Amino acid sequence: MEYVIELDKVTRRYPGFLLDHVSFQVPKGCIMGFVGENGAGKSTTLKAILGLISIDEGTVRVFGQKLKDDGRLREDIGVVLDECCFPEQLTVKQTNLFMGYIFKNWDSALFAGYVKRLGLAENKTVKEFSRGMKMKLQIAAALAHRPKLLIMDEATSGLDPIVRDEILELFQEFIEDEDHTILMSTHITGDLEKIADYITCIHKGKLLFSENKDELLERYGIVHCGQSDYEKLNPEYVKRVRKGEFGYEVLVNNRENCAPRSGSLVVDRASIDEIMLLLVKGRRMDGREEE
Amino acid sequence: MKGLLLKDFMNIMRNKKLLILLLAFYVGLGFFMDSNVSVCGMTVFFLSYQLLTAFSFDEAGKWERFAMTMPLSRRQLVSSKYILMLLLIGLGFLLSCVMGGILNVIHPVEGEGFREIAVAAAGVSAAFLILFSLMMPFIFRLGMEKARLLLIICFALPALGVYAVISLARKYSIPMPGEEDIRLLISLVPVFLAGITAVSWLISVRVFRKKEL
Repeated sequence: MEYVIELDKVTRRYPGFLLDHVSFQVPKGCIMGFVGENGAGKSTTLKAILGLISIDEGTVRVFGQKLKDDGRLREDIGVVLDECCFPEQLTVKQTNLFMGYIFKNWDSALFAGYVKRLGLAENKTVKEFSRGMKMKLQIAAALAHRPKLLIMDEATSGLDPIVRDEILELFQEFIEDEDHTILMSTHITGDLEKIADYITCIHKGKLLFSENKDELLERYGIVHCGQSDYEKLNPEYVKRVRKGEFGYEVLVNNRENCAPRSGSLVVDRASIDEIMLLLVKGRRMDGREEE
Repeated sequence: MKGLLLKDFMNIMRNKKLLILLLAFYVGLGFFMDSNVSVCGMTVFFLSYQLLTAFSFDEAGKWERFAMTMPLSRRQLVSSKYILMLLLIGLGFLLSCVMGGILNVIHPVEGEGFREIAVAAAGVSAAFLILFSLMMPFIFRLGMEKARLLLIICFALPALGVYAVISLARKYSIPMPGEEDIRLLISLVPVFLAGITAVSWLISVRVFRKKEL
């Protein structure tokens, strides 16, 4: 399998936070969702991938190479950040003009096409746009230089469902070319359940998992049960437990074999949200929080 | 780099009405005060100052972080600002010479011929080149808002330095340079300016390479 992004034991120390030996790979031609709670280290990881921050240990490779300061590899990377950084005083038309001198592969007509499709007025300044329109502008710009890799940091946060749907449609069109890859960090796991192929989850600077989405959702399950049923669960497959007023909420990583076949225990499919929540908030069966 | 310069110029030109208005105000003031030299000095000032405006726009929009996700090196980003500085100061100098020439015809002031105006414009241009060369590494390191405080220090230090030299010279009866010496010093000014700009650029590149975005 060919990987577009490879992180190997990436570590970065800040006072009060540690990105701790994070390793995962993004396969070519896929959409990888990157999830984690606020402050988990998603933006730090993305900045490390893009070379915006230095790392203390480990390696980052994009397209099989380390990103160098000359920026050549970034010709093939489209980036959408959580805030629109285009000069607010300039119009969409002016943005199209100067970006054409930055990217060798910039396609003005393609940009104009995206702008029209996303309903942005060419002669309006960026300052006059709403948050959703600014995000659309960023996405149009990220796609207009025909990148092979899209990296997005909370690109759809704060957007209404209609705008998000438009944007997800664009991503799906982008990924139709098997040479194209998307890495997107988001809190909106519903979007990932629709379009992602892989999910990587980070918590307090540590990688929790990086797996194929369908396999993840197929394997993981949630059991709501009382004490007696809880004791019947196979401990090998119990990942996390939360004890509430009405019983146990158990995350299992093998829906088929976690409970006796003859029993009446119901093992529901777990959503990405539920998997994340229990991995973060739950405890192990022996009562410990962390692995 | 062309793209970065184009972006900065387009940003600056959004304020062209204000710039024209301010220049017109100072031309009027110059007429009133009978000083064409001051008008030309202000022209250089207004155009040169747009460099700091460009930095402020970038900072407000977190442009540096976004720019470094594009196929640009940190060295190119720094270099584009130095080229912008040279272009703005050069433009200011040229414009003030043109305005000086026009004012010299329509409103001549005794003792302020075109030569005097050009020398004044060159002097102000050189002063801004030195000022910005001192400031730029701090702007790249600390950001525009924090570096604004340094603007005051960068204005004051050279002035204090010159004042100190003159005072000491007077105190210890050190003779002032004669005409020949002054001609030699003036001929060395371009070398000095080139040197200070080059050193400033090198420091800025080094500083920005290490900056976390």
